[in-house]
Amino acid sequence: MANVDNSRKNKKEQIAVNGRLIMIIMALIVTCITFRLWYIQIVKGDYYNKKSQDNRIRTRRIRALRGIITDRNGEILADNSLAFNLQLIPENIDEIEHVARLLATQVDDLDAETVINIYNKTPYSLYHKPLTLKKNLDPSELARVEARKFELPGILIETEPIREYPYDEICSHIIGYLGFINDQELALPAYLSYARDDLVGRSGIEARYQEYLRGLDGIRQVEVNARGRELSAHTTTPAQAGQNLELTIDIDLQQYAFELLGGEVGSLVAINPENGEILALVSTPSFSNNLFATRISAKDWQTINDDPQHPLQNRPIQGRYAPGSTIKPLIAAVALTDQVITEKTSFTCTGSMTLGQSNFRCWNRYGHGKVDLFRSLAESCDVYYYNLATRMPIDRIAAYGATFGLGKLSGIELQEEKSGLMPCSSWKLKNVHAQWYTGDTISVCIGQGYLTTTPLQVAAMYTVFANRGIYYRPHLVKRGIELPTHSSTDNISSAGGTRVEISEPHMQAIREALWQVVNDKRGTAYKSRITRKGWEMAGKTGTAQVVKQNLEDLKSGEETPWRFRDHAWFAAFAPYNDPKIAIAVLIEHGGHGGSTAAPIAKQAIEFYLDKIKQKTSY
Amino acid sequence: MALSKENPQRRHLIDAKSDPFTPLSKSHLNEQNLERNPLDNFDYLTLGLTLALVALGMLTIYSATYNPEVEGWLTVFCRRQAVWFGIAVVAGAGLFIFHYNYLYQAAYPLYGIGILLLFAVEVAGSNHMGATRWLSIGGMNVQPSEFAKISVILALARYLSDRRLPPPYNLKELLAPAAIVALPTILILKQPDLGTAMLIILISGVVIFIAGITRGTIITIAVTALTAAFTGWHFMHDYQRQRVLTFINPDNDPLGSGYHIAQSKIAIGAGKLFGKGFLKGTQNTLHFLPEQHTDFIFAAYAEQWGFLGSMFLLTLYFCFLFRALHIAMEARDSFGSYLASGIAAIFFWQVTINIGMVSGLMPVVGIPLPLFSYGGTSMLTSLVLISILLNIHYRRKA
Repeated sequence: MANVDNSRKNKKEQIAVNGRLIMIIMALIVTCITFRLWYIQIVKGDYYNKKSQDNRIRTRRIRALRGIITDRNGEILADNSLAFNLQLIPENIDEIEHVARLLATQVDDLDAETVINIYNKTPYSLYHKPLTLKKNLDPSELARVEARKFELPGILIETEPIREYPYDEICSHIIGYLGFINDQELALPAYLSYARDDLVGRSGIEARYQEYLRGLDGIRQVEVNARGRELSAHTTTPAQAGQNLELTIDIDLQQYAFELLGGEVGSLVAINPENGEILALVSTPSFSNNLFATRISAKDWQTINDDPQHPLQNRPIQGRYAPGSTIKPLIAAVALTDQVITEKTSFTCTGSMTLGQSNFRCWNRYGHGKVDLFRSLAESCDVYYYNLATRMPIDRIAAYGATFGLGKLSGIELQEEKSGLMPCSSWKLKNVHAQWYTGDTISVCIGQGYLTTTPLQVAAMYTVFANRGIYYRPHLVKRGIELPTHSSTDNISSAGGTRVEISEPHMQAIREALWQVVNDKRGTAYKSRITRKGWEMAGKTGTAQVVKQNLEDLKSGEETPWRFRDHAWFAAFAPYNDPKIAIAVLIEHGGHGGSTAAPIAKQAIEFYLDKIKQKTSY
Repeated sequence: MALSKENPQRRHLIDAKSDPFTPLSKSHLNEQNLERNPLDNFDYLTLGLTLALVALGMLTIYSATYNPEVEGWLTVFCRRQAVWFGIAVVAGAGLFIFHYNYLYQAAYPLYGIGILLLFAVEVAGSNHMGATRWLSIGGMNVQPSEFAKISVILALARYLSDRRLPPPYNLKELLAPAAIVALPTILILKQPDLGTAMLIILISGVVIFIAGITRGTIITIAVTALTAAFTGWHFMHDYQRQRVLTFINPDNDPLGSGYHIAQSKIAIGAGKLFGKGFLKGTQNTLHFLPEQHTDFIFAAYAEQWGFLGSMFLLTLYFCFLFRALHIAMEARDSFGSYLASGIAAIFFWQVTINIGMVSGLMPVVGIPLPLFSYGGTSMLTSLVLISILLNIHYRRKA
């Protein structure tokens, strides 16, 4: 017991004595720190203060030039040019009033009060940073400011590369545009190497190939004095320009097609059926992507955004339309392959067909009479396809549709792409919570109902008929370029293409029927036939209903309000024997495909064939 | 009966009379208890000093992360720090309700958990800048060495208070406490985190010194420490050696590894007597300071408030440390004394090493300025430790 008591007493004593000792040691050490701080802040304070004024090293960025984008013939579609920006460095200004008044007389749209205001609002800590007064000076302004340089201390002209699109609205949907990186993105790990004020691709190729095109900014470390003047460069890492990109687009065709579409709202897609290269991808109405190269003004943005025809929408890849009769060759091909019909099978069209309690009408209410495969396509008889629909399960059609690229993303190098819908029975069960009816198949077989496609998908489907059975992934970027992997769609082999399961004779029958559509007197596109020998076109018209119409309304088609009118389709390829181009044209609310869409396709094809003929004859 | 005070088995019997948070039985409800304000025993001075330091720290974090070009940037750090402060206050207040003797009972289990966590880091820790210090638990990054620091103090305090032999202790009697310290220290050295390992040795040194050691032992330890320093140099990582070397002469390489110290010295020195004023520090706003809101926050503070401001801050810390040691000497039992002195030591060494590092007296080891630097873990640990201090003070009367 005594031992424990003793221990307790001892412990208390030790704590009291040693605690005091520790206090003294702590006091000594704190005194040491005090002396150290006194030495740095008082004795050498002036020295360090001067150092903080004099010895500042600043890191300045050297912007990398973005890669240049060209078309298949090397024509430049996206370029860099220099912008001259007017800047002011507050700490180098002696008399702001004087400088501001003088500037106002030399530069348009810049008044002295604004300049003085900007100057006065700048906190002292940012006095060394250049403030941009006006971006993109025009040459005469530049000359005037440069001439008065010595009267304008603290005013500086900064050069900055800006993006320039020579073809402007003609291919702005393909190229896309740039925008400033935002704070949320900067916080993401993917944007670690970006800084505020960086421009990044916001849509189109510019967005999809952002990393490929952007290049690597250089860094210049400069020693600056207290007034922000550069004393000497420390280290310089030069900027590396981004890589150039060659597209498959033929800009001449693109431009011609753009003009053909004129004031219509629509799309035109042209693809080389030999390899899936997209030759033209036109969307109208369009917008000027040059407006985005420098910060887009609120007014311009408002105008583009509020346009009821949505010019920002890239219709050929984002517009999901009922394909109308352009789907019929696919349906016929499936029916032939699944031995539902032979080439000789015919059905009688009386102008309508009754299934259960529903009556399905043909577009020709007087009926086509006895119709075989060739007539069914040439004259686009609906009843023939109603008959096929009652004999075929939807899932077979869906399976074949998928091999033609329907109902899924094509994998084109534009991230805006939408997939369209190739319905099947399980899809309906899952999404509509209802069983699949034959009536649904009937709608699908004439390209209505749940079925939707983009113009790109329709064009890609016709490349398969053109090249007799190979589906190539449609693409915009020339091969041989290392692709930054982005999505799984990139893994689709595009070089080889995939063969669809339609036998050669069946394929030949469909092609022949498509030839008749254009070249037979009764064909729905006979008026748009190409007469030049060896250039014959084959194709299919289509009319996609926007609203259900009564038979009576059909008569007064011209009087229907524009927004309720049918969409006009035409899909084709040429020359018939050795196709060089497959094309799909869609005119929103254009009425009949044969009268509005087919002439455009014809002219575009002739233009292109003429061009490649000239090229090869040299 | 004299045994009861020091008998470990009876420790958990908490003296309800002096403890208003312990449910009182009827017999305790006498007039005396009702008359006395239960918070009379509370240490308002320590609390006040803590709040003053945290407030000053927040102000400096604001100035260090303030960017006039970008709105919202400053609020991120300030808001997060405020949230962590709130969490820490709740944790500290919660802990305060319980008698600190619960910590006595939990000392060894906590120590065990600390060691296990350090082993876990060894096995499954995440690597960050060449060192494995972090452990990811449920999406949160935990730094077990921070926890080890506290658990070593707890284990040491318990062991020393359990000892029946009267101090001062000789070398042989110190073997067991040395082992308690050595195990986590070696594990932390392996991460490698030289700074924290050093910190644990220094803190334990203070606790053992206060407990009492013989003069011969002090000399022996001093000699061993010197030898160890030379051996330690041998085992250091290259980057740590480089830090020590550039510390000796940072001017050799002002843009390389000596850059941090050189720039922070410029910042502190440029403050001169009165400082450049709030938000007017150029070293700070121009981002010449490294980690200006965490480890180098003192430099940002000193640039703005000058020598006078630095002295004010040092005085606040000094008062706080004296108060903590005072609490250690007044504690009702030796466990409380050792624990309080350990806590005082943690704060003392962190402040000394941090300011010493920033002002170029010591090599750069990543140790934050407690209560001041930006950082949730540091804030939480600091306030929990202060809560324990207040606890020991509050229940000082036997």
